[in-house]
Amino acid sequence: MSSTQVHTNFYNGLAGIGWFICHLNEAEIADVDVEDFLDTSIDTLLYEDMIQLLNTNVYDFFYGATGICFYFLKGFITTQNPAIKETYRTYITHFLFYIEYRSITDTHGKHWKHSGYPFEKDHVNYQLSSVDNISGLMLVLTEIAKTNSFNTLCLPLA
Amino acid sequence: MLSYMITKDSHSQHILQKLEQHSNIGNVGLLNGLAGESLYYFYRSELLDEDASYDTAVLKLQQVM
Repeated sequence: MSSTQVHTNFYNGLAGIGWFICHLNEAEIADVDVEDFLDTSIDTLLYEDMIQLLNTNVYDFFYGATGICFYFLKGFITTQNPAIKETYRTYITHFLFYIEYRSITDTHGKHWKHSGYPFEKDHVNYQLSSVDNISGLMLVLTEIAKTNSFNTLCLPLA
Repeated sequence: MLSYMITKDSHSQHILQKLEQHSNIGNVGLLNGLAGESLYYFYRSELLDEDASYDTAVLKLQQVM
C-alpha cells in the first residue's frame, strides 16, 4: 500500500477487502490464503483504528468502528486457526464492552449518539440510517449474537 | 419466458457495459472499487457459469492484492 493514508473502513478500505476475502473462502467461491493476505499486523492496525473511532463516537458501518468489527466477526467465524480466532474474540469483546460503555439509556431504551455535522447545533446527534449509525450497529450486534459465542456480553445490549 | 431471458440478458449486458465505463483502478474497496467488482464477477460466474467472468474476477482480485 503506497498511499500515505491507509483506509481501514468497510466502504473503501481494509475491513471491506478483508470481509470480501473471508467471504470468498466461506462460500467456497475461491481459495485464498487469508492469513497470508491479511497478516496480524493488519488486524492490529484495524483494531487500533476501531478503538480510536469508538473514542470519537464514529460508529458507522461504512466508515466507522462497526464496519471494522463486522470484518472481525467474519474472521472469527471463518478462521480455522485457534490463536487467530481468540484474537478476533478479544477484538469483538472489546467492541461490545465499548459499545455498552458509550451507550445512553433513557426511558426509550438504549441508544448511541453520532458525531455531529458542522451545521448541527449539537456536537453529537442521532443517525438512524444503516450507513451512519443505529441500523448498521443493530445489524452487526444481531450477527454477533447469532454466533452464540458472546451471549453474556450481548445480554446487556438487548 | 424467451422475452424475459432476452430482457434479462440485455440488462446484464447493460450492467457490464456500465461497469467497464466506470471501472476505477484507483479504488480497490469493496463498495467503491475493484474488490466489489471482483465479487460481482465471482457470483456472475457461479450463477451463470461463465468462464470469462471467473477470469475477470480473478484478475480484479489480483489487482486488489
